[in-house]
This record gives sequence, structure tokens and C-alpha cells, in this order.
Amino acid sequence: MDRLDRASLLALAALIAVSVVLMRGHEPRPKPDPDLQLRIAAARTPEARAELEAGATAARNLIESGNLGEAEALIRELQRKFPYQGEPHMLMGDLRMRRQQPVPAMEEYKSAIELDPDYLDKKTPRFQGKKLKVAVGEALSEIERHLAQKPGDAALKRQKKVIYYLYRKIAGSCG
Amino acid sequence: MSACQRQPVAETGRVYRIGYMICNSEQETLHRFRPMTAYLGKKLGVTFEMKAIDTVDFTREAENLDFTHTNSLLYIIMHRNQGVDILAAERSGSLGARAKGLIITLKKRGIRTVKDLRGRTMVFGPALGPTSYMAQLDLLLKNNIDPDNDLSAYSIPHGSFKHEKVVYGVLLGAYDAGAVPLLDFERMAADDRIDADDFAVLAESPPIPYCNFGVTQKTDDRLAERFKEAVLGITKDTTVEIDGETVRVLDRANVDGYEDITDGDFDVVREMAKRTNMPPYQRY
Repeated sequence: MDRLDRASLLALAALIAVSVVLMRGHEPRPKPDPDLQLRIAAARTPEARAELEAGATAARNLIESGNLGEAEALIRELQRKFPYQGEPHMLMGDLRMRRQQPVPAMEEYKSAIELDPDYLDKKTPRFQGKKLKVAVGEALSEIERHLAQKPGDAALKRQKKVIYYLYRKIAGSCG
Repeated sequence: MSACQRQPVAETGRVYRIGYMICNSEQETLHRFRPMTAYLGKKLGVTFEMKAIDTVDFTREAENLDFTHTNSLLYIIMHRNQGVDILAAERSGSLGARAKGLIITLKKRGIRTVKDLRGRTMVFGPALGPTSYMAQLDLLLKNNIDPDNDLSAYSIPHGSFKHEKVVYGVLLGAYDAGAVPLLDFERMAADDRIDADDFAVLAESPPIPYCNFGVTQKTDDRLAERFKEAVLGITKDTTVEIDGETVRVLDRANVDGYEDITDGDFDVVREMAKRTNMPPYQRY
């Protein structure tokens, strides 16, 4: 065996060793949760949509009549049953605004528009862009008030980033 | 690129809804604004359907409307909660596009100041009327009078024509004082239904925007702009053919005209709502 043969063997051994290390470090892709898949599929059935719509209508009526405690309980139930629908988050945002909590409202509205981009599409009947702009403006005012007192607060800075993310999303439509 | 194609200003065949806040009565509201609605439909080439809506139900209906006609308190509520934008302010009476709320009493009652109302009775107009309840509540609170605890009793009349019922309630001695919009008080005096000299005005609120046209967030912006131009362009000579007769639009609406206004002009209403714990800033 000459020097070239030995070098080739060493390189091969090193390659095998690195491959073993990499393979051991690789985490297998998690198997899809069959229950989750079923829930997502179930939420798209006509029956589920009707249930969501009825619940949303009831929640809106409760909000409009000032029954915020009951509205919140109903909306939480809708969020649990329909975790991938935007409507429950939009409703929770509306509730937070009625409670004069624009910053938590902003977080809910963010979830709503990420789950359902139609809320920012003026060509759809679900458009809520102008309402969201008012809410985000109030949230920004509140955050800036708090930042004036605590300029280094990391949580407030993160919230401000969310505000500007929402402003970009709201402004992003074609007009 | 196709996602950015603009939709037509007015969709062919579509009926656009204008919600009119009921003022005095549903019948009077429809009578006043039917010619206005017909004129705007002809001017814009669209079909408008008018709907008279009670103040307490208006915000529930906003999502089903395209345009709104309301007082300034309802506007700021819908702007915050439903994204309604302002289009034009309505002019009527001595203050034009502004309104004031009065606290009135009969001179012979001997009540001289707002502070003298402590332990007295009072009658207010509709709770969602900025110059029939909120403005007067603001005046009372500024004088350290909480109506719930410091008046012997207060009430709000039922049914239609509440502002007039407030004035008659004070005139006929049922209440020591009443909360009424300046405009309605002036009109009743001008019609000789009351003698203004019988009354003392204990306080008047700062001026706030009067009634207005608004547009809901789903309505096409260009249609909204045309609607605004059409409203601002209405003059005392503007007429419309309706039910076989020619009607002057402003005369029938009992309005002097319309003028431009910005959302910022309503900040005075917002500040008043915050001071009085009224919607949209009510804390439960």
C-alpha cells in the first residue's frame, strides 16, 4: 500500500465518520398529527362554516350590546374549535378594542390577517383594513407613551415592530 | 398584476344602501331625506336604497351599509369600531356645521347655575345624542355633579321627538332642568311653540360637529369621492323630480347645506366621550 492508497483510505474513513455524525444528529421529520389534519379538514365543511358563522354573529351581537364577558367566553370557544380561522381572532381584537386594550387587540388582529388575508383585500366583502388602521394607530400611541417612560423595554420594542409590520400589511393592497 | 386591477366605481345593477340615523321619528327622517337620496342616485347613476335606523341599532347595521348619515358621536364610534370615514358635514341653524348642547331651566324655578342642580330633577334626550346627553353630562361632571348620585332623579323620554319632549317637560314643570340641542331649542322658539324668554340657559357646551355623511370601509374609494362631491355640490336651488313634483333637496331635508370636514375635527367629540365614559371609549 503506497502513500496515495493510505491517503485515500484516511479520506474515506473521515467521510464515513462525518456521515455517521450527521446522520445521528438529524432529527426525523415529525409525522403529521392525524387528529390535527382531521380538525383542519373538519373546519372546512359546510356544517363547520355554518357553526362558525352562527357563533361569530352571536359574538358580534354580544359585543354590540356591551356583554363583553359573555362575548369573550364565546369567542374563546370559537378560537378553540376553529384554531385556523381568522374570524375568532378578528372578533377577539374587536372585543379588546371595546375594553380599551389596543395593544392586545393588535396582536389578535395580526393573527386574524395572517390566517385570512382577505381582511386586507378591499375587493372582498371581508375587508377590514380601515378599522385595523385606526386600531393600529391607537396601539402605536399607547406603546410610544409607555416607551417614553421605559425606553429600553424589549417587550415594548417588539410590539412596536409588530405595529410597523401591520402598517406594511395594511398599506400593501393595490388601492 | 391582475390582483391590482381596479374594480369599477359602481357595480352595475348593485343597490347601494344609505343608512340615515332616525332624527325625531322614522317617518320624518324618511320624508326629509327621500329627495336627497333620489337626487344622489340620479347624479351618480347608481341605485340607492335608504334605510332609517335607530341610533341604538346603527352600529350593528354599519357592516350592511355603504354610506351613513349620523350625528358626530355615532360617527366617531363607527370610525373606531368599523372603519367608517367622514365625507361631509351638514349645516343647519345659527351654528352652521356645528352644534351645542344646552342645559335649560324655567326662569321662575330660581335655579341660577349648574351647581344649583344638585338634588334637583333633570330630563335628558337620547343617550347617543352628543348634544342631548353627552355634552350636558360633560357640563355636569365639570361642575362636580354626577347625575347617578347627585340629582334627585333623571329620566329620558320614550318614543319619538325626544328633544321636544325634553323642552316641554321643563316648560310644564315636570323637571327642574333639561338637556336639549341648541338647534332644536331655536327651532321651537322660531315656530312659536315656546317662548325662549321663559327659559334660562344654565350652561352651553363647546361647539362640536353636527350631523354628517360617512362612508363604510368596503365602499369603493372613487364612488365615495364622487358621493362627497355630489353632496358638497348641493345648493339651495338643487331640485329633484319625485312623486310627480319638483322638490328642493335642501328645503325638504331641512338643511342649509354641506361642507368639507376632516376626521381630526371630531377630536373634540372624542375628548368629550373619554371624559364622560361614553362609547367608543366606555370602560365597563
